[in-house]
Amino acid sequence: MSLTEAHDPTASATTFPEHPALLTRLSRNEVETLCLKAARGAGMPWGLAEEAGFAAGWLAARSIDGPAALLAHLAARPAGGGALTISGRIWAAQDGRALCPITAGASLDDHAGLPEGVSAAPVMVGALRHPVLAVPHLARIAKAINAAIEIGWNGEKAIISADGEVDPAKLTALSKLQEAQVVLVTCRAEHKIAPPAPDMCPLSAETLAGLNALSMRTTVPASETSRRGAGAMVSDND
Amino acid sequence: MNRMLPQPTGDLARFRRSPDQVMTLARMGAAHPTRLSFLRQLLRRMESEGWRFDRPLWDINAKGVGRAVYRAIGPVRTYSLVAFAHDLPDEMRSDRVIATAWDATFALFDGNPTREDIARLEANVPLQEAGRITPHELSLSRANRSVRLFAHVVDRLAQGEQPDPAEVAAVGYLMRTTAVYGAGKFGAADRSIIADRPEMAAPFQAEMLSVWLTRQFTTDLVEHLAASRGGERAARLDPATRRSLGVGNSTGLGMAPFLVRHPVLMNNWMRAREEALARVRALPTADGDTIQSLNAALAEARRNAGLWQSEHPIQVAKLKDLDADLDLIASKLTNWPRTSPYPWDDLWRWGEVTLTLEGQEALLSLMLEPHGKLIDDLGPTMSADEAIAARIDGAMTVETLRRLIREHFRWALDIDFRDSANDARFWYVSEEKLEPRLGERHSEDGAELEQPLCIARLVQELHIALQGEDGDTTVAAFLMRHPGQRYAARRVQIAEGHPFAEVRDNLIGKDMLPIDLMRCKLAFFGASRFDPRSDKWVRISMFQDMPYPDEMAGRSR
Repeated sequence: MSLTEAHDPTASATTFPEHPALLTRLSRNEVETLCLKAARGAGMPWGLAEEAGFAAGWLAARSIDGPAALLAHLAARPAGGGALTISGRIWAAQDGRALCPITAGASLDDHAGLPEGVSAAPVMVGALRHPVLAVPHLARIAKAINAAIEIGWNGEKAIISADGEVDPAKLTALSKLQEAQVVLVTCRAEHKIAPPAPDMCPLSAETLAGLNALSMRTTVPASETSRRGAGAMVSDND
Repeated sequence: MNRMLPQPTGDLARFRRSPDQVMTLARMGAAHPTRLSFLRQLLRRMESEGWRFDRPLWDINAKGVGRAVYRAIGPVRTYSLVAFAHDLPDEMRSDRVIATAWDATFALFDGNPTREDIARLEANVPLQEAGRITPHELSLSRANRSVRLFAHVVDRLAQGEQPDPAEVAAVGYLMRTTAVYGAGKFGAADRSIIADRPEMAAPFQAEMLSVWLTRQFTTDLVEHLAASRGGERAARLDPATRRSLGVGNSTGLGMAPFLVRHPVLMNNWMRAREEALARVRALPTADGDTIQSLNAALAEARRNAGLWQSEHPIQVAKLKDLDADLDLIASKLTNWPRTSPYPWDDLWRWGEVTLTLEGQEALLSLMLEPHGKLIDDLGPTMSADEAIAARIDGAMTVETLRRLIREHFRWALDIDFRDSANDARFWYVSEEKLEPRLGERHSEDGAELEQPLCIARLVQELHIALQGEDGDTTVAAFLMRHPGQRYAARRVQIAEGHPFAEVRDNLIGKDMLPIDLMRCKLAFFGASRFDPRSDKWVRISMFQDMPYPDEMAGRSR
């Protein structure tokens, strides 16, 4: 156990102790914040790291282990990786490798109402890493354009309703995919999928440790100067 | 008797302050609590809805160790403060210790806790590092005794005497909370779980309730210890002394970036307060009742200023300004209102040219005080449904994005960051404590790990990146090529429709004072007696001079 100062109000961030063999249930806020920091620690720009936090939190709130998927993705994410190119209806990575699902999801969302986007015509996304991580952004698009989106992969398909919900079994199937080409089609037919009861997916010790380790890369080791400046300059024992 | 409420006349626009005026660090650092502050909103609601309060569990021994439960029972739901009292030796309070050392620890439980709930909380809440709570809890907090005053009060009461008023006034609280964690921290319920409850609609209501019930616990505890020691002879706190005690709070740099990280929330706080001021300024009349109420508020403000102590040079100077300004306001009120279409606006304009920032912001608070019926409806509008990554409008053109920068970030473009005084600091998170800190960019390591809190510089960088772009390019296409600009682009889009979203100042300048951000936030909470211990660390008091649960019944205001 680490040492900390008595009366220390400055240790303001939540820390997540890792209990081996135990699952830890984080709140959505904690999942989002931890995943944002981990994504940033893994080298994503801040604005995309925020999208990563959103995606992992959205999935975790639907009992899907988005944080573990994000960790797996971040661990193998190529440096500077994932610049996108759009040619016709095909979205792919410039370097020919599989796409970052956060970059792709966010960019699909940005293009939602534009000719290149899903609402205009079907889009094929060339190999996409951990496709489940792109689903939260697709759900956001579906709500924004008020239309269901069909996502197809390897001969299977799932519907994201206009309310932004997905059948849990399909979401679980998507979460098992390491990499896939996906086809996105907007469908005007109405699909009703009930929102799930809120139930946060608990995280394994391994996931927690991995995300913690990445998020620590955003921190700066203490110096005597910074310690001195952080607290009161006078005693608190009064 | 029904009385027509005077309504503001005409367009409020001419009575509104501009974001450039409101959002400077210096002015934010002069903020005073108002009747829209969050703890005032909580008390008003509980009073008007006739909430009941009780203490179903008090299991504390003669050493002050044990458990207690306080309930706040509203028309629909009940909330319970579960308190654990510990016997902490003085030496553990002063030095570096393993982090289980707190005089008291608390959780706000959503409902009526069972025996099992209390046992579960007892195994977690007192632990600093390893403690985890669940969505059944809305907040987690820890508090330590004010060593000097706590012992003094117990001693005196045990002897059947009242504490020395000078000692009470010098400290003002029996316990100081360190942090009150809500909104999902440590596994607690996410904000979204409670956001649609009317009693939790205003910001930080669960945290305020926790602190208010904690205050009752602190006075119960001293009376209990005094009775244990003094037996029949022991006295209870006299009501006036008790009323003057609040709950202390110590806050470090950890709180400073909050307002920058929650731009929509900050906008909504400021917008509500500024709208309230504009409504009052636009009133065509000032009648006898409101004038009397204004004078009463001024008398209270002067009394409070007289008791407000600080040894920090910055605050000493501000208190001097405040005292002088309150005197000026008092003398102004002797010949106000004069015949005028807008008497309140006259008073405000007089203040703007006569008073220091400290006095102007105090005047704002005073002017809102008599006008509950006119402005209290703004309270619930101060919340925000903020997502971690607000959607970007990708269809917006680069030309429009540039226009938004020119309209809302002129102040940011005007800062010359090539001057080393203007980029002297950097915000970072310490590896040791995981808390935000400020480093010196030109003499310390770590600037490459800077947190994105200096919005001015980030927006300047975005502005430069946009320069070579065709105006018709979409933001979606631009961000595909410049993913590093996504963060700043989002801030710029948020600024449209949220004019108070940004602190319009340089947050990495050499002379920037983090306590300015802290004071602004704490004033919105309703904190008083702001007492900086350095430029990065502050103590305050909450609920001082406010009623206790047992004093709420039958009050109406």
